[in-house]
Amino acid sequence: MAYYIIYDSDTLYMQTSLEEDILETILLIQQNGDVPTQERILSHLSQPEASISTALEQCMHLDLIISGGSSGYHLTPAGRRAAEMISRKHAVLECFLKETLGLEAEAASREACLLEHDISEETINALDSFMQSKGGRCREHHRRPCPTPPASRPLLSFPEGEPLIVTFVSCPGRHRRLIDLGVIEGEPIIIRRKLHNEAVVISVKGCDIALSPEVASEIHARRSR
Amino acid sequence: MTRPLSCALIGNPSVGKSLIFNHLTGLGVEVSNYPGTTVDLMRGNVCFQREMIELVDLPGIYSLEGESEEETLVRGILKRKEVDILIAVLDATHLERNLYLLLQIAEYKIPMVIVLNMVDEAEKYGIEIDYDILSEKIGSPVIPTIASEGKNIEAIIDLATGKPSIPTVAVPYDHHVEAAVRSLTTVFGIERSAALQALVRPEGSDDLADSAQGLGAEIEKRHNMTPHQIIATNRHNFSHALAGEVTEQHSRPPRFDLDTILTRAFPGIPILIAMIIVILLLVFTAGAFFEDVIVTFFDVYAIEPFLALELPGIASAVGLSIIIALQAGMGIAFPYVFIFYLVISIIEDSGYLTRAAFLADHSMHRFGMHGQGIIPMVLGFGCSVPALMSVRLLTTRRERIIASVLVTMIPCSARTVVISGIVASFIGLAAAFSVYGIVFLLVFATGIVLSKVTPGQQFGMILEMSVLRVPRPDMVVKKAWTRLSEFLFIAMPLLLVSSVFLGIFEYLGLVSTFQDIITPYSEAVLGLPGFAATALLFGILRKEMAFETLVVLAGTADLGAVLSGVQLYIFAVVCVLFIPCISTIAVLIREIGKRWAILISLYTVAVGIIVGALLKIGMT
Repeated sequence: MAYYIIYDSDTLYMQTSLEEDILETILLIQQNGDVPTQERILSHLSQPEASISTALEQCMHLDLIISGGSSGYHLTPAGRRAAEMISRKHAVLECFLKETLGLEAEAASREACLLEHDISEETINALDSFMQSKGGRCREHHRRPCPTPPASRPLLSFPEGEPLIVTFVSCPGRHRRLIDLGVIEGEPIIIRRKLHNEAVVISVKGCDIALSPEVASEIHARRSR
Repeated sequence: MTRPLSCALIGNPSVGKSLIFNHLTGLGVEVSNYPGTTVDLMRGNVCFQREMIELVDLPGIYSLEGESEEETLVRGILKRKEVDILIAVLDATHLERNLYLLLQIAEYKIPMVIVLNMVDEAEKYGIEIDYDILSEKIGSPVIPTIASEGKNIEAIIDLATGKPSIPTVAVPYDHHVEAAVRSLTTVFGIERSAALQALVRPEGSDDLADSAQGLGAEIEKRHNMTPHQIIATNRHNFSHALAGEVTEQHSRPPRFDLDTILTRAFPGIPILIAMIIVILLLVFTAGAFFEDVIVTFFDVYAIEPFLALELPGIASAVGLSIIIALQAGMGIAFPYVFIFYLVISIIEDSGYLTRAAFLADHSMHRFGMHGQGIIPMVLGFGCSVPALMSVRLLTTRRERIIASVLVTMIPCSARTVVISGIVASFIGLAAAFSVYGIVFLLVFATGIVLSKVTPGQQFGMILEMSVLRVPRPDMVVKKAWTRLSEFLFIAMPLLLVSSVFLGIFEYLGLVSTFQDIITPYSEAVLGLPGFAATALLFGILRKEMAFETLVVLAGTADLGAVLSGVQLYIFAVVCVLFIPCISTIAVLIREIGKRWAILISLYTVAVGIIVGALLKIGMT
């Protein structure tokens, strides 16, 4: 359920989150001494190419970046400020979660990736000074890139055998049995068999369940990380 | 006298409930590896320390909140607290999925014993379950069993009669759901389970339903999920955590997965087709052989001695018709129904049937059915009676009706006898195949039309694949026997009554009157002599009887001498399409009701006559 809410807000603020991620990524690539081309940005963000292109255009429209042709994208002063701010938010949050709350490095980074888009500048400043007053210092300051959740696609677009996570089931009222058998948001499933006519056998909670194409087409999933 | 203690077995499909029931009561009950076959409620008595205990085998269900007949039935029984003790049977190899139902059952606050079945298989998969912790977490006694070997089964009754405790486990739901449940329980003074039910399915138009609907809508707006989804998700998460706490998964030995060949288009579909052909061949050979044996047996040991008695008029006619009815009934029952059910029980218990349904799903869609529809279709080639009895495996009434119509039209082995005995022997093999061609064309056309016009909604197939296992011979025979007796019980009375009537009519000379009346129509429409029409009439008892009667009435086995090729061809086609036999009609009435049985019969009569008439016009 918590996942659903995140998913929901993701769809609502998808653009801003993605744009912020792009600015952050460009900054990161530049800091590593590379040229931020579209391919490089794509490889850093596991999002569909189409949505990244739209977000890039939106960033250009907002004068946050300019396209330099073969030399890739460049941040405008405003874009650099935004990118540095989001990068700082991430660093402070990750440090707080790891050093003060004692989360695992991986988990801290993941949480920071989610929180960085919503937290206000005031809170980050307050948190930063709190951390400094406590003498908390982060030993490693290089940050990990934010892995955005893989995009949700219809179940039928995945091949056999790949571990998947159910993202949603449309028309849940019509297929109560699906819910009862455990096909719910966040449930790990595997396509055991897919016929040419798109009838599938999925494995849920250790049981194999055969589905007609019309039922299978109402299930959406994403790759399990 | 006090009412006997009433215990009910409850759990997911194919967890071994019926096996345990059988073991405890010793009464014949169907055990099946096909989800949802135990539709009827089975009751039996167990004698324990000189006390009678009533045991009920509830149908296998996945949840208490679905719309299906079985779920509604079980929900009602729990709601009205019709049983004193619940014996919840869990499959130890799929504990998490089984706990989902258990958590729902626990909400009804009925004393419960938890049977953890198939612990031997779980061990094979490297699953180790801590029974004590499970018992502690749920708050009811837990007992591990191996139903297939009868291990620890008796101990279930010990526990059930020992005043088991009411389960204490409660799923912590989302706080909005909990708030809504609290408000419903205090305002309406109902139990927690009833409040949850009202939220999941606000039925009716009373205040409770209204309030539940309002609260549900608010929750839905807040979460973007229906209350049912939230509640189900909470239960699944709780089961997942609970299963994790009590199970230890050791490394699992790699096993060869037969599904790598069975459910792939290749070689899965060729295997399926080969299976169907083998089944059909088995009927055509073994079935025909045993039928011949039984029919001859009746001829030699019943009909001939009876005729030798030379009883006076009406008594002879009635007696003979009874013998003929018994002959017809037994001639179908043992060779076809029994052999078929033996084969189908083997396929069903092995778990292959669910694979067949999966592979056939696509083709069956054209006829408005799902994969499961292939089962009656295949059976139909052997005998319409068991085929129609298997129609109840289909989930919606719409599918059951379409399948019933098509099964009635598919040429069964008796009709094959007519085709081979008349067309193949007197006209030729190509002509015999053309009869099949005509029938299949009509079946396809009818199926496509029916899928468009039959009322009712079409839902997709959601079918749990049964675990593949080697069927137990005693269970297979027992199941086939149960179904055979069911057939005899349905079909025999009708067969007897109609045979006696036909016998009396014949004795009174009504048959020849009928022949006189029908002759002009028969000649005009079908181009057949009157006696051929009478023979068709006898086909109602048993389809091959049309052929046999034709020989008797023609006075010669060389039909080619009395009827032309065209006449024989028309006779065979009409006989194959024409009205289903009495046994089929009896099963039709039982499975889909009188109205549809009459409609189907009328439809087949119309199709038979129209096709016959068209053939007559086209061929002469």
